[in-house]
Amino acid sequence: MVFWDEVFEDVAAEFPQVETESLLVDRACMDFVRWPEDFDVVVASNLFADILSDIAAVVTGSMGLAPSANINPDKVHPSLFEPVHGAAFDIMGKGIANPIATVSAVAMMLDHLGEADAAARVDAAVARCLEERRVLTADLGGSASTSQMGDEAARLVVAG
Amino acid sequence: MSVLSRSTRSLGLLSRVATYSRTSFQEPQTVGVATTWSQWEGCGQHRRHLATEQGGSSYRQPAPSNSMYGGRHTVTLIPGDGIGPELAACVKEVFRVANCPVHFEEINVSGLISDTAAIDDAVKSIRRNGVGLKGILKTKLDDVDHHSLNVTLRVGLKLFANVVLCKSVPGINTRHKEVDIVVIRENTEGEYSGLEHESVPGVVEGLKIITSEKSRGIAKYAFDYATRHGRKKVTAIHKANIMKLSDGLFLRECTSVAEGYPSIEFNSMIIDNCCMQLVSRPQQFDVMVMPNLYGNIVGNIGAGLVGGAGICPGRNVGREYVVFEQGARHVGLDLAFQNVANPTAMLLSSVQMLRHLGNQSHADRIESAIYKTVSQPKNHTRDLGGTASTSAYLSSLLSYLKND
Repeated sequence: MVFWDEVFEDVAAEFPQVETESLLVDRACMDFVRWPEDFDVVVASNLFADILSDIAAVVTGSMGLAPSANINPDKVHPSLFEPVHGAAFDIMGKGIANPIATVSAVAMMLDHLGEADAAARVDAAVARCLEERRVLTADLGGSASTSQMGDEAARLVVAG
Repeated sequence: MSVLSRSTRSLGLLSRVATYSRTSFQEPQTVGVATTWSQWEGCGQHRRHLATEQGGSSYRQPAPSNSMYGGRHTVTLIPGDGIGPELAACVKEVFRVANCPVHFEEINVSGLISDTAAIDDAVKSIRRNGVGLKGILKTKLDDVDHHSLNVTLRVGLKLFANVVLCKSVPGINTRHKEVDIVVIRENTEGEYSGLEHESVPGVVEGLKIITSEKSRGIAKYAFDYATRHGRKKVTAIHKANIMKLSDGLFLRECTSVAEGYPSIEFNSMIIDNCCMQLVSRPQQFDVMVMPNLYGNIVGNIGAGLVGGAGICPGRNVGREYVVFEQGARHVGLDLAFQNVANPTAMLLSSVQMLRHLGNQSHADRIESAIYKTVSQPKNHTRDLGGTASTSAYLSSLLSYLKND
């Protein structure tokens, strides 16, 4: 059997209440594009997950929205939280980058640090900001600047 | 531009050196008629590369199959596993009604049984005929001794380039419109070299092979394709920031080949950013060239953007043979024999094959009938969100053909 599948099946056996499925990466990429709502949690090896997570970030609306975490589960070493998007040198200094990915990465960090309430408040503020659609950066179809959208998210955290 | 007569074919090595030289792949100049020796698209026969008055070039092939008798080409047909046999039946019926001068030599190979004799027969048949049309052969995951028959075919016939045409189809509603991407994938090395070992239990090492020769070869194919088809830009896809030696070599070879095609724009992109860009703004891409695994992924994303695996045609090209198949290679075992499969991709691949054989008028008629058929929601199969059966789709297409 394929090594990856063997390990996956061994671990899956310990969690019988969790539904599992196995897909070849090309099929997964196509389905991410066509029916992303069919997916829940996806586990993959390094290169495949690199590619799939970037597709997922954009499919949810913008690469400016998705946060990520690089976790050391035993907390022996620091964990690292960052947006999924890259350095984007082409829009550097223009004040139009979407700050939500970074803000949501902070929420993930708070959660990791055990501050679940704080994390939930940040997530709720981000959700409200996106639902209200009043203050949005260009990638989401709005005209707000980075700091305007960041300030709005901060205001909603305090208000919320 | 060099003019090579038929007799140079016998010089073997000399003609091969000539085709590898950079000058033979520079853009065609506007001369009356120029003959270039091109071994890129199958069959090893020389091609006439005609320059039009407008200064472009049209690529027409007089008799490109090895087996042509009485005006009919003989082509190898491998139906394959899963939905393959039903789709092959659709092709045969469409060709019959359209009166295509093609005889199919059918070879039944299956990845579900271990039958090396059948795959050997298939390889011999394609060597004899020069051109093939195939469905997908199942690769069993749980048998480490079982190698993919699709890979065996590609490597055995040295089909070094896989081409997938991802083009939006009118009538198929997708998030992104006006997508027109050609994905060119190195087909014989890279992560598909099949070299893995477990030297320590629980630790598996795999070898990804990237060579100068094959990287250069696929880059030249991509630029030559772009030139021949009037495409404007070639983008090389890689992960050379991480795989500095392997993908670094690939990228360097692409960059070097690009210098020989100054009027084709060239850029490069890292695979993860490329996937993001494909999903957010696919219209920025034209021709894309990349190593094996990224090609598998990007080809499937491209297919997903225009409607799925049932839409995009593809081909596997070597210096002597060409084998046409669906662009996104999914066996569809769970869909087999239920009359639900979408024949569009397989039919469009067969149209591409007809063009390769020089049967432009038959290709045009069938392609027009396919587009008329699939543009109507009543003919959309399950994968397109519709309820049409394969047979309903086929009868609609045949009625367009007959009334043409």
